[in-house]
Amino acid sequence: MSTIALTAPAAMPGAPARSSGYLVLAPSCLVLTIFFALPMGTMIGMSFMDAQTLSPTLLNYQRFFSDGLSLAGLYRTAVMSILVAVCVTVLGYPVAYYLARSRSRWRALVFALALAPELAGVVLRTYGWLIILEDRGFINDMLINLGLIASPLPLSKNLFAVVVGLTHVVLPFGILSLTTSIQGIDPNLERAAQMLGASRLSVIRHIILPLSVPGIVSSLLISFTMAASAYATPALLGGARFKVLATMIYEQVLFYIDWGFAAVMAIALLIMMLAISFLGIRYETRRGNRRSNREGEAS
Amino acid sequence: MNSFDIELVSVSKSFAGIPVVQDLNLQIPRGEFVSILGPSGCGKTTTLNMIAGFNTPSSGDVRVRGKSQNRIPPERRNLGLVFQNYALFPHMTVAENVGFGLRMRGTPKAEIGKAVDAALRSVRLDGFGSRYPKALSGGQQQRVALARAIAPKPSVLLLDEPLSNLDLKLREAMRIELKEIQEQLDMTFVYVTHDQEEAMAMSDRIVVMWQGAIAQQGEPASIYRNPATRFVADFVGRSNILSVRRSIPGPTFLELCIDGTQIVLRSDCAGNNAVQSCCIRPESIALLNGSDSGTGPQNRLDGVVRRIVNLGAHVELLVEVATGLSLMVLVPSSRSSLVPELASTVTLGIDPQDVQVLSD
Repeated sequence: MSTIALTAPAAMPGAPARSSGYLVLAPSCLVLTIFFALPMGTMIGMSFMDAQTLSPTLLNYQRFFSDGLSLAGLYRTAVMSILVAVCVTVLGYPVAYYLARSRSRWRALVFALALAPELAGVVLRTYGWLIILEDRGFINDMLINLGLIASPLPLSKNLFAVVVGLTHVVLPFGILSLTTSIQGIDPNLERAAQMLGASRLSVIRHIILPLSVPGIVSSLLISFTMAASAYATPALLGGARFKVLATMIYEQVLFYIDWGFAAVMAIALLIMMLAISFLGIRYETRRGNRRSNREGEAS
Repeated sequence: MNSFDIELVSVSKSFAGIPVVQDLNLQIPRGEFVSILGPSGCGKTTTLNMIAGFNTPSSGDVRVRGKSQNRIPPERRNLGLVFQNYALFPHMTVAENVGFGLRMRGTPKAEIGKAVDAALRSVRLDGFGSRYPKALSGGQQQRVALARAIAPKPSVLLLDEPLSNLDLKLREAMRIELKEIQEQLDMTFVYVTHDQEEAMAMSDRIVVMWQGAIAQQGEPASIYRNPATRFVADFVGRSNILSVRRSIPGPTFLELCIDGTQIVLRSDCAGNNAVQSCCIRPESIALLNGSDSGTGPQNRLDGVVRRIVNLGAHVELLVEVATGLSLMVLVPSSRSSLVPELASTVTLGIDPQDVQVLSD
């Protein structure tokens, strides 16, 4: 995930008929069409449909932008996802650095521990956090019993709880993409910097961080999209008091049976994620271009 | 204060119980170009890493200008290091690369600029400062790496096979240039290589390492002329190594009976009767004309030419002088009239001073 190939490889000279290349792509195209393009089309179609009369309408969109609740939900989703992306990347970076560079025998253990959360299901892990963060949960109970606080701290059913839970869920993915990126940096660069008098901290600041920007960007992107599309964790830890688009869509479908409005919210969520991904990828390509342009000028 | 820039005092290093360097003692005087030469796995890179500070000796002491370095991390040893793969920072321009060491030392910007220009000039890369490493050729990148290492004026420059990624022509040109730069800067260079020609061409002194220990050290010419052990004779240059069955010390020379043959060679070396082997460089063997006698070399052997290999500047002959014993003989191509035909009989002459006694 550290680099995203944006250009197709040039056709090989004298390669056999191009159609054979498309033939290889056919199965995956078919699968994508059936399971991705079709449902997507249906969803877009539904967003323009009145739930009762099934006649075409723009009312769903009008409602999304005017009822206030929907835009607030979008805003909450964005804030939550940004916080999760930042937390995952900041917390994951030191672990990823260790995993990428360590040759100690503890490395395998740390790697297993870093990825182990993925083995337990999302719901299980989220319940774990609920037990810890609830009003009658572990932390509040302990603090009350110690006499440090009189009434429970608001640790659950809010942004804080959801960010904590999602960070835990998404962290392994952030660590993986950061590790790949840091592993791609020649260890001799660090040694070279050290020989030139750079302290451990300077090596990280001047060599490792700038060179792992692609990994940081992809970690941010993965975390953001995973957080924005997560359902179980915000549902359990955010509850009715902290609703994000994913939980609101679920509500619309199950309780209000308003598929049209749910479709609009889903499209809004999708557009937000696409926009963020687009920004991230463009930043990366621009950075790459800038460097090669400067090289071009010089030579 | 003594005049040694680097001293290794009975340094040993083992990895996971496997000894890599054993009881190494080495003193490198200030301003010398010293090569540590050996085949891969001989411990030369480990030795370099212990000097640089990336490996800590299992026992013994590494000293730089008389000061023990065992507890000092690499970034505070004030040594320079040039890597085989250059290890240039890809996200920095050439000037930023070269200035990095000074920046880390907190040198003012204006001074860094001057020092960078001077360093780039000394490697003949002035005007390349604003480029990125990727836009340079391998040879230019290696020069940048060199400029980067010398810009902060380290007390010693360590070089880890810096030329082995370059093609032959460039490598040969860089040898001369490296030596010139070293002399200009009057800096101590410790050069690790497995290429004996490279070591020969540049060094004031060569330290030949084998199996974690020093096999021999000395000036390039003396190592070539007087290899001490069978390994050094074999590794440095080409040689005919003969097993000795018996050696008889004479009044001014040593008589060596070559194993499995009736051949007796005279050597000017001092020695005893425990000599195991001897070495004769192929270029020191002369092809004698039948009429040539008396005043020439004292060892004369008749043999049959079994193989002729043209090496360009030289022609290599394989001459069978006894059953199971062939000698390699190098004849300059310029004297091609002397080159005999295949399967013809020739007489070889070997000066006793060219028969070198080896210890194992």
